[in-house]
Amino acid sequence: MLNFLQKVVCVLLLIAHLSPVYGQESGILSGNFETNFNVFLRDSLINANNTPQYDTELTGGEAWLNLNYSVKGFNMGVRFDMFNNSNLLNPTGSYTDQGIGRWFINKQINKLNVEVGYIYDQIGSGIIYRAWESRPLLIDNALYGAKATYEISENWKIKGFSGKQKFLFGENPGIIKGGSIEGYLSLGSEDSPISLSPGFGFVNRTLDDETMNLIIDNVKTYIPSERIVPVFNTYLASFYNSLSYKNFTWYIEAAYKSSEAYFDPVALRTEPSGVVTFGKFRNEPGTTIYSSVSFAKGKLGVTVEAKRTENFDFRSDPNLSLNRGLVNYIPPMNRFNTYRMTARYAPATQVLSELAYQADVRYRFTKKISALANYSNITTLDGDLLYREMLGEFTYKYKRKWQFTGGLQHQKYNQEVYEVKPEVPLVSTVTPYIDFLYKFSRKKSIRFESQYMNTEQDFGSWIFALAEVGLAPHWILEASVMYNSAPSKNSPQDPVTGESLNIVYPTVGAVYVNKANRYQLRYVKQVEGIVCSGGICRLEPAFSGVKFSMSSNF
Amino acid sequence: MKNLLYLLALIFMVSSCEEKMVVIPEFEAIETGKVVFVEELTGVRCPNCPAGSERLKSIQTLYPDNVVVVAIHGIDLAKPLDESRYDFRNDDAADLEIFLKEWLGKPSAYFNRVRFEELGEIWGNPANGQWQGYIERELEKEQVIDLSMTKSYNQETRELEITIGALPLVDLNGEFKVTIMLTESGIVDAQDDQNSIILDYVHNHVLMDVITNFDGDAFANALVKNQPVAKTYVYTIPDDGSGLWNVENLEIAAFVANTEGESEEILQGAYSLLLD
Repeated sequence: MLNFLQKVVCVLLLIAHLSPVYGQESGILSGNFETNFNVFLRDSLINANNTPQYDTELTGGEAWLNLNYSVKGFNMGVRFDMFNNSNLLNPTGSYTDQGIGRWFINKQINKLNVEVGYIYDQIGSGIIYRAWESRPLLIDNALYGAKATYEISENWKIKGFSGKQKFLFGENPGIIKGGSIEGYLSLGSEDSPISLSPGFGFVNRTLDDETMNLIIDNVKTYIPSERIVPVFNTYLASFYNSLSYKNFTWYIEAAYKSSEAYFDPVALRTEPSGVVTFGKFRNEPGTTIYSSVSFAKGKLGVTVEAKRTENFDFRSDPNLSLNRGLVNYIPPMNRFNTYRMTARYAPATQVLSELAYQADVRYRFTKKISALANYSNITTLDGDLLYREMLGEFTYKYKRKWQFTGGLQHQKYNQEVYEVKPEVPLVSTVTPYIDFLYKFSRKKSIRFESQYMNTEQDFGSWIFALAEVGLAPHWILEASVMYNSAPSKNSPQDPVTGESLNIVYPTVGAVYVNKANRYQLRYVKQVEGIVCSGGICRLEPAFSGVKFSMSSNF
Repeated sequence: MKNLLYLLALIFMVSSCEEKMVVIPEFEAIETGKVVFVEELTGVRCPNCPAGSERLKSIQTLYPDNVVVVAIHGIDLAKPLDESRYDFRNDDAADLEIFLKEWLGKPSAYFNRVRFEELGEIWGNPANGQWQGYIERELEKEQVIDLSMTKSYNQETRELEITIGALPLVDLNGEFKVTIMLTESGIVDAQDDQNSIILDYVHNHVLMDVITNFDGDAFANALVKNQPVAKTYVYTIPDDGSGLWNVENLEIAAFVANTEGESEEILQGAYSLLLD
């Protein structure tokens, strides 16, 4: 007997097959395929060991095949997901499963659009609701349910949705429902037009009995003075607006979350014996305010952002932790760095207590010379410094022949909070970097990149160097080394002498591109570090081995 | 604008609905002869582990005769701190930590090695606030065997003879294994905590050695009601001069598990001080 998902896939394929026969339109079939395959080569010196992949499995990987079909106002799609001994779900564990990871059907009926299946969506910037996918961290928070959007007028639309949050090949138990109304207003005169894009969003999550029982099991062990009374329903609302006037754009979003049981890992808990420990459920309302102002005129571009977050941990199930069950998404408030060393310490959004601001200024002096400066500062609401970054960068372009970029970054990173390492000092880094691109011809180029991170904390100082040869349109060859030039006590140590070692972490790889297909093969030795995707971060263990990846669009 | 007002009114009405207040029940101890075996994956570099250990201590206060705890300092976060006097790691602890995968992080606790459906692929439970609930779920199950421990210890030779006896209370089929662990309590040494390193932290129930194979020794293929089964072991307590292996603080923790098929479920645990 076919299960539900199999039936859905059959229906999709049937529609795709029959539509050219019975309809006048043939429709459009498109898709993409992506796969990763890793070979794990144990290296106990850098702690690339003691996971199932290094111990017994030796290889692991993932694959996603996405098929979309559009015909007669219908859009439908299905995605096959496969995980074989994958370390994406839990970097120290192994996950194997496969099946239909997503299906959806969407239909436009005059002013009404309806969609069912696994739905990705967000309200505003995502502060109260965001259903999204991030493969590097295996986050797939699609809503398994239904959504309807109605165009009230040319400039106004309203939407509503309801369903359960997807988790792997099942769903988390809570019911999530919500909606929004968004519009567009044009004010002012022709000479000085003002446009507004206001919106209002609302989300409600209802817990199921089993989840509530787990919370009650937990809360009933608290001493009476610390007990809370959890609720089944949590309500969130947000108001957001984008205002554009000439060269200015101002976005603001203010969100409120009603009281609910959420887990605070640093809240003090008193055991019946009187001993005080950390971590308990609290029951407080939450707020987040986020705003950004951008100005762009001629050679100058300025963006200033600020955010205040308090008690805004919102999950489909409050018993979940880390990256699991997140219903919303709070934007990060630091520069998105791309170089290996400047990106080594990245601050994950703190959902319970965070006050952050960031300024980014860019200026193009001439056609050849441009510069940027960035400053970000993140503290707790009590004023404890979590992260600070100052970065200056300039770029010189000589015709189309070569380009040089140089910069300097200074960071303060609260490793004690972000990586839960007690009594470690703030990591303070100074990182100069250069990037030089030389084009031999339209097809041949070479790029050098180097950074030196000076720090006395964590693993100590690093030197990174990379050479990349581009042979357009097909090949990119790369080789890089990351060298722990001044190791500290956290660096890998000689098992006999106990001395910290100067270890080289090399990477050698090649990328082959053929039309819409991309293949990448790399030998990688990588130190443990923070991996972030879309503002969500986690500590990844060291890696040693070979990585192959492939993507294809059709 | 009128539609918007209707919508806002509707949302206000929905959010104004009052739900029935949840009642938090008062604690009522479960009376049973069942003994739950708890394996706690921990480490001296694990900042959240003191809270987990304290939680287990509180649960043991509530159920002094029904909960056995073993603290496994295996691989992750178990390397001694600069401030440490002792290294709690050993081969059996490492083997158990690998054997007990999947787990998300430390501390993680296992209750009779039962795989709870709601935890999905994860075997160890990292949420210490839920541990009492899971232990009580196990305590509510029917007791199927009674486990006894008889022992004699020679102070001069440091030789321990121990017999584990099981009296089935019902007929059982399966592949039954016995595991005997030696643990030590009252060890004062450094431990990471959330904001600090506690230099004089008291480590309890630290796994020192597994007398049987780390994953148990064969015990029986069938257990028949009221027909006792026993197995005897002789073990010499090490004396390595490290300050550990203090017989005054050594404990014996044992269990019988049904390991038929994919099951590793512990049916009954037992606990005794070595010099009891």
